[in-house]
Amino acid sequence: MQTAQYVILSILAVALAAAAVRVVRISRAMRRRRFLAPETAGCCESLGFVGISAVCSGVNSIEHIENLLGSEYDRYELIVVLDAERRPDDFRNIMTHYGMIRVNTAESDELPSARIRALYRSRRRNYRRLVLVDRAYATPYEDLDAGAAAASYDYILPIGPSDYLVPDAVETAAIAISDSPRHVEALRSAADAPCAIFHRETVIALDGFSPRIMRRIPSRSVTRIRTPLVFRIGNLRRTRIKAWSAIFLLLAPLFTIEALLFDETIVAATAATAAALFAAARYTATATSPDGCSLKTILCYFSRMKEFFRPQKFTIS
Amino acid sequence: MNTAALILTALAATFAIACLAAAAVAKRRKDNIPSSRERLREAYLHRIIRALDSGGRGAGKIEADTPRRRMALAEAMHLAMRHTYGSDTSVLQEAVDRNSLDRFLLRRIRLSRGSRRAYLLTLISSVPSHRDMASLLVRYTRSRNRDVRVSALMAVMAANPSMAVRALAAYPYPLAPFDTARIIGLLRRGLLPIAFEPLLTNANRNLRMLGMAIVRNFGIESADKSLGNIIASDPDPQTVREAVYTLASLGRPLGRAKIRERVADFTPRERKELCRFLTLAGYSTRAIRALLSEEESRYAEELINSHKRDLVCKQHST
Repeated sequence: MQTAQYVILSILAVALAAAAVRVVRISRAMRRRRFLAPETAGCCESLGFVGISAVCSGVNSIEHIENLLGSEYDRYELIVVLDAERRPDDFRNIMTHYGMIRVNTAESDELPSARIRALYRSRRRNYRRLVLVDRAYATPYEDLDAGAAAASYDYILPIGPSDYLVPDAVETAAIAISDSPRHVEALRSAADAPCAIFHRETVIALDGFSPRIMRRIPSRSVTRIRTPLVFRIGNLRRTRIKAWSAIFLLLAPLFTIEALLFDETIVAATAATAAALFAAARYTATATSPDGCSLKTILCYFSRMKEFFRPQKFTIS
Repeated sequence: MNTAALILTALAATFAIACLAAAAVAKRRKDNIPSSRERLREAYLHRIIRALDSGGRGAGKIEADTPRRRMALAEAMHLAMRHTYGSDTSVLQEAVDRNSLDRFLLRRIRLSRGSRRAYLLTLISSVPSHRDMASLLVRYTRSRNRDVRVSALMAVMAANPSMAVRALAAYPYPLAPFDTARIIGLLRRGLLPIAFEPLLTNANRNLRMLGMAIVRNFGIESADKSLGNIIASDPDPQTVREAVYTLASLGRPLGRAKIRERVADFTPRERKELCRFLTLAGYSTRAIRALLSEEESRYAEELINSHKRDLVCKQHST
């Protein structure tokens, strides 16, 4: 019994230490971000000639596109991949709102799955960064391939239908890429909304985007940052249900067993550690994400725990 | 066992309270609720702008008697300097001397670390200070934290602009593109002299990189020859790559034999990246063919046909 108590206490101590380390790292990253934000605003040129093309799959609202076009970084463009036959109204809205006209496109042999039907660019000077790609929808990964084939810059930032850019996200990514002394194949943001940026040539070498792409890039070529690049606006009701179910499934049996087998000090230690983890999630969510949802952060903890047993897939929301 | 459990409970409870407090501060910041120091900073900013407008009149009357007020004054000066190009900072010298602002910041720098120290060093680079300040700040240029050492370098250069090149040459770490961009920010504010030629001809890598950044930022086409010399003679591939890109961003011809030779040493991936860059920079197929292989030129031609179609541009209509 004594051994079991020690095991439980050790697990709680490890969880508390991990949360503390995470909070310290996040708070350091956020302090650095706050320090660098006004400095990046003064930078008038691209950093180390790093160019980033954001490629969207499933993005069809003007308001969402406006958010993604908000970056002021010099070498940045937004590629929206949409199926004109499947979503004719959305396609027409974008065409008229941004004054898009059809431009030449060459069939790319780099990414065979791209299969672009037509490529459009805006006639308006203030929307020169926007490219609209028309292709028959099959999977989001093939949409990303089509976007990568049309991309002008060397780094591809995949964006899903519920992803919004955090302010200064593109500048933060460009700083991280240009500062790295070695060649960056991929940049991964280890914040609550996992996000990655890939080198175009790496994507081509790995035959395009797939759920396995992250696993196939050697970890030494992946640069990690703790600053968030995107935040996700999803179904909050579903998130709430999932998070509370996960918490209940984990804590209820634990408390019951502890109350039956051990004395109240162990129960108190467990309750205090659970409260500390929740408070850490609250801090992380408030500091890093504009929508600041602690429950999403808690779900993220659970998915990280799963990563110990199974390497993470690359998914776009 | 009970003691261990109690200690863990106490630690967890303290950690939870600290996190909740930090979350409350972060929320306040996110909601843009101005703190009393931010309100003070705004008040000081108005007085500084009035002083700058009137050529320094009234600067001597700006008073900051508590550490909180001094900090707000330093931040206001930094804000004013960041957003006004070429302002004569010496008109604020009286306000700095009266409130011992530079000494105050120096003390704070000594006591802080990490990003906070880097921030304070950035503040001191905007505050007009005496030349002896440079020697007091030099030790921070050897910090292990990159943000601190670059901010310290900027503060040293701002404190003694005549020694800026020497300070940069003595800087022992290679400058990253973002560091160079921050130094260019100082140049744009008129705090440093812009003499690009001595920088380009210097053997020091950092000076060359800064020289090339100046050439790019200010579009100095006359630097063509110096850049050609760097491409021909510099042993560092990173510097050569930077020089080729600088020439390309100026739209200069790249067909010279020496440039072709050095570009041939690039890796295939680097050449492809260059090819894409040249396409976006507006180079013709012929110009690219003179620099790259036949296969790479074909790739460029494909890109040019897809990306460079002339578009009739309407003026802003939204």
